[in-house]
This record gives sequence, structure tokens and C-alpha cells, in this order.
Amino acid sequence: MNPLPIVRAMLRKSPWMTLAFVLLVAFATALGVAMTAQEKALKRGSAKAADPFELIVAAPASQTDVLFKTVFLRPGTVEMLSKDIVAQVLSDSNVTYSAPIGFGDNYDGNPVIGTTNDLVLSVSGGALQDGRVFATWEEAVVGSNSPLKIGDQFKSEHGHVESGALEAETDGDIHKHEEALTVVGRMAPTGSPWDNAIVLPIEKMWTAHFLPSGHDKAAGEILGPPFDPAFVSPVPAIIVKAKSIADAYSLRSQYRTSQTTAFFPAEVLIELYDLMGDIRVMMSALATGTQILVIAAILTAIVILLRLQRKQFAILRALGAPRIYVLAAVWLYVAITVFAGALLGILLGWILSFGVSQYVEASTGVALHPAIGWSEISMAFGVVLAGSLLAIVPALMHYRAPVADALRGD
Amino acid sequence: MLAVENVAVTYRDSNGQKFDAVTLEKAAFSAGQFTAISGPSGSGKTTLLHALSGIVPLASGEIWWNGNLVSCLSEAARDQWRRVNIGYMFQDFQLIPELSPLANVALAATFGRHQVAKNRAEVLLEEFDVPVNRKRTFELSRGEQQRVAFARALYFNPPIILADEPTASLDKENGRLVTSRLRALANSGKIVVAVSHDAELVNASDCNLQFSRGRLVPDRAL
Repeated sequence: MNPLPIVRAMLRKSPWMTLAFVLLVAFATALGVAMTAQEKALKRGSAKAADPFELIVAAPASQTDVLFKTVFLRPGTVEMLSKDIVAQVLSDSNVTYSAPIGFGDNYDGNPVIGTTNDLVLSVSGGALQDGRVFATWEEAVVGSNSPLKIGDQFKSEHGHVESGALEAETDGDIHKHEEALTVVGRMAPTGSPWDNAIVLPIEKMWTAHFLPSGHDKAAGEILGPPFDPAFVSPVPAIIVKAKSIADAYSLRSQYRTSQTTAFFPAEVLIELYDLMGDIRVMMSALATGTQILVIAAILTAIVILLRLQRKQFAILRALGAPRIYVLAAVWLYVAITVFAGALLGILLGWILSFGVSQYVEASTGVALHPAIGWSEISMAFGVVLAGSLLAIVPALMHYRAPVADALRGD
Repeated sequence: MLAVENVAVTYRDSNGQKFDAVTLEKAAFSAGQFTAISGPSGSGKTTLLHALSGIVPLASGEIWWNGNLVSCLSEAARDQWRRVNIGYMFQDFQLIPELSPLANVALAATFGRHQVAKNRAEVLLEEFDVPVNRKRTFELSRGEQQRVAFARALYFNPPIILADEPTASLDKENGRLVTSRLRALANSGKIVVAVSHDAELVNASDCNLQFSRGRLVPDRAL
């Protein structure tokens, strides 16, 4: 028994209708595939971006807010750590390094960050792509995507231009810092907003804002660490690299006080992933509901379409085709339509996810690399399975249809 | 010989009431015999063809084929029997326009496993003077389509040919051609039974069974 010639004839009979069925299944599948692929890409991208930041010490605030501002360099205001706390953290002996981090300036819309060479090297994966780390207060290192080249000079500006709330953020204090800095190094790509950042010594950031530089003036323009506890200034956060995991946990406990908060970026991300997971479950339920509705609508349309062809099936039966032949032909037609739609849906889902990733990367700087894995293929397989099971309905309708009635055209 | 004894086919009307669509006490169709079945619309002619071919189950009665009772076969066995023993021709040909003439002729071979020469369809199409290389049947003229329908009916070289209004949708010339082909098939030893209103076809037949209200009109039987 080979019902494929009849299936071929059915596909040719209503090619546009069949194409519409395939596209509907494809769009419904793509929605689910894109969502799953995007969620995985977001998790991978954000985890990779946060990787160099082991422990963050900040003023008491929403950890998510602090994470977004320090790791993802999102614009906005944040409470400052007092200079006593800064002095205490920077002089802690249980750390490999502690890097104060200051932000709030920009150059041509790109964030300007003040910190130490330790953090620059850590973010850059241990070594710069080009050039060297800064050796004086007038030097800077740029992210891999920065338009600035080594040797370029620039003047940073107060405030986040892209926030759209410059006036509010800076309390009307919009000014360009007078001293030009020279780019001396370029960081390796990180897949994070730091790729667009311009990093300069924290000492420069402090003095540009008329704050103590972290060192006694008598010592000259030296770079920390170490910093002189008597001359440090407030910062929004300090990135701490502990000597051991045990030390990291110990520091985290130690700086969870009424004046400070300390957290591993990973734990905040996990909370966010949990939240994302809840949203994903909701979105998945919506996508699954959409898929079921689409398949049900398609099956209804197919039932109507095939009802118009029932005389053709009756003719086949009159020519000697067994019932099972008609059942197989109808089932195969629906299954092929759903399978083609699901296959196309995987491709469309990836394209959709890729497009969203490009948009997210452009607007946040977090590099996302969506990929089609087993979960997406399983989802498409689920659509095929559901479609194939539901295809039995129209197949059975034609299997059971009385031949004589259909031949008479009743 | 295809023989019918006390056959009744029952349908339900729109109110769900049963009624006899056909009752036929006795009839026999012999090899080489061309039988015409005529009568007004709704008289049960097509239903008789469906009963003879096993498409509809009988409410009562028996149909015998060469001494074998076919009316008591299972549906699957009747399908198999019909496929090999009956060549069915429909009004308007009922070809599948999206398939090639070749695929239309060989369609029945896809219903199950059959020992048929690979080029049987090609031979038949050449015999009926239909271009073998056409991709779609809808590209053919009506005359060519009618010849494809003939070739399809003869694919398994069946001993019985059942034709339902085979000339109804044709012009006079093509109608005559069909009648002469059916006549020729009967002359070649096949049983030919054709439902028709066409006087020329009825005149060309060996016997005319006239039906009215599901019953044979006795005095009009030849």
C-alpha cells in the first residue's frame, strides 16, 4: 500500500491553503522555540558577563539594582558607600584584590568607569587585547567595541547621556571634565556592556569630582592599590576577589551589615533566572496554548477542506482502495503539513531569537548567542506529535465515511 | 457469471426512516454480455451498481461471482475482490487532475500488493492513444480524459466493467465512441453493465434492465 501519490495530489490540489497551514504551524512553533532559545541565551550571556565579578560590596540597596549598575552598567543613581567602609574594604587582608568602582560619566554615550588595573585585567580575561593598562591618572583603557583607538585623547562628561534623564540624574550638573585622557589599552571582548566602556583610574574619577584621590597628596599621582585609608572617597561599589571560596563567603557575611550589602552576582542572577523561569513557564503555557489553538484551527480547516474532497476518497474506495488507505492518505497529509511547519518553525524561531538577541545586545551590550538545542527540537517534536495525534480525527472521519453517500454527492 | 438473488439495499431517509433503495429478486450477468440499466433518476440504478461491486452492504440477498458468494465477504476482502475483478467507470471520469495520466491509470496498484507488469499503464495509454508524458491529467482534452478513465478501469484487466452514466457528460461523437468501446469490451468476453439514459447506449446493449422506484420493471426487461 502506498498512499503517497494521493497525498501528493492533495498537496497539489490546494497549494496555497497547504502553505498557509504550514506557515501557521511554523509561526506557532517559532514562538515557543524563540522563547526557549532566547531564555537560554540570556542566561548564558548574563552569566558570562558577570563572571569576572566575584563579590560586590555596596551600600544597602536592591542587589539587582546594584548588579545592573556595576556589571551591566545600566544608567541610574545608586547610594554611595561611606569612605570609612571603602577604607575598611580596600584594606581587608583576606582579598586577592578589592577594586573600587565609580561610574556616572560618559564619553559620547559610552560609560566611563573609574576602577583599578586589577579589575580591568580581570574583566579582560587576564590580559588586554592591545596596549597596556593605565600607568598614570591621565591614561585610560577602552572596551573592545569602543570607537576610541590607542593613542586617542578624549574628555569625559558627567552623567549617563543614554539615560534620557540627564538633568534629573545629575541634579542639573552637566559638565565636561576639563582634562583630556589618553587611551593606552584595549580590553579583550567580554560579551558584556564593558565592551563599550572606557575605564580610567579611580583616582582620576575621584579627583575629577573634587574628591580625595585615595592617596596622600604628598605621595604624588600614584595608582592604587594600596590606597591610603585616610584619603579614600565614597564609591557606589567595590568588586572583591577573595583569596578562597571560604574567604568569599566570609567576606559576604562580614559586609552584610546595616551600612553595607555584599553579594555574589551569581546568586542575584539565579534569583532573576527563577523569576525568568516563572515568566517562561507562563509564556510557555501561552505558546503551548497558541500552538494547540493553531493546530486545532488548522485541523478544523483541513476537515472542511477534505470534506470538499470526500467524493475523491469515495472514488478511491470504489476503485478498490481499502479504508486504511484513505485513513493513511489523510493522516499523512496532515502529518506532513504539521512536520513541515514545525521544521520551518525551528528555523523561524532561531531567526526570531537571533533578531531579538541583536536588539538586546545593541541596547544593553550583553552579547547573546541563541542556539537551537534539544529543548527547542523537543518542543517542535511536541508540535509534530500533537499534530500527528490530532490528525487521526479527520483521518478517522474519512475512514468511517459511507462510500455510497459520498459517491452520490450527499 | 455475476449473479444476484433476492438482493435488497436499504437506506435511511432524512427522517431516519429506512427504505428499500433497490430490491432485485434475480438477475445474472454473463461473460460477453453488455447490459444497460435505465430508468428515471432516483430509481436505484446507481445503487444496484454499488451493490454489484460490493461498495454498499446488502440488507439481504446474495451476490455470486463464478460460484463464490462475494456478498458475505468482509469489507476488506470485498475491496480486494472489487479492485481486481471490477473496472469502474464514472460519469465525468473522476480522474485525479493533479496526477499524471500514467499515475491515474496505475493508481489501483498503490492500494495493495499486486503482480502487474511495470509498463501496464503505459501500454494501456498507448493503446488508448493518450500521450504518456503529460504531467497533469487536467492538461488533457475531455476525449483524452475519457480514454484515461477507460485505461484505468482496465488496469487489472478485470472481467467485469461497471459504468455509471459513462456518456452523460460527453458530446454525441464521444458518447458513441464510449458505447462502441463498451460494446467491444463485451465482445472480448467481459461482463459490461452500464447505467445510462442514453438511447444509443441502450440500443447497443444486449439487454436493458429498466428500473423504477428501486425495482425492476418486468415487462421492460429484454
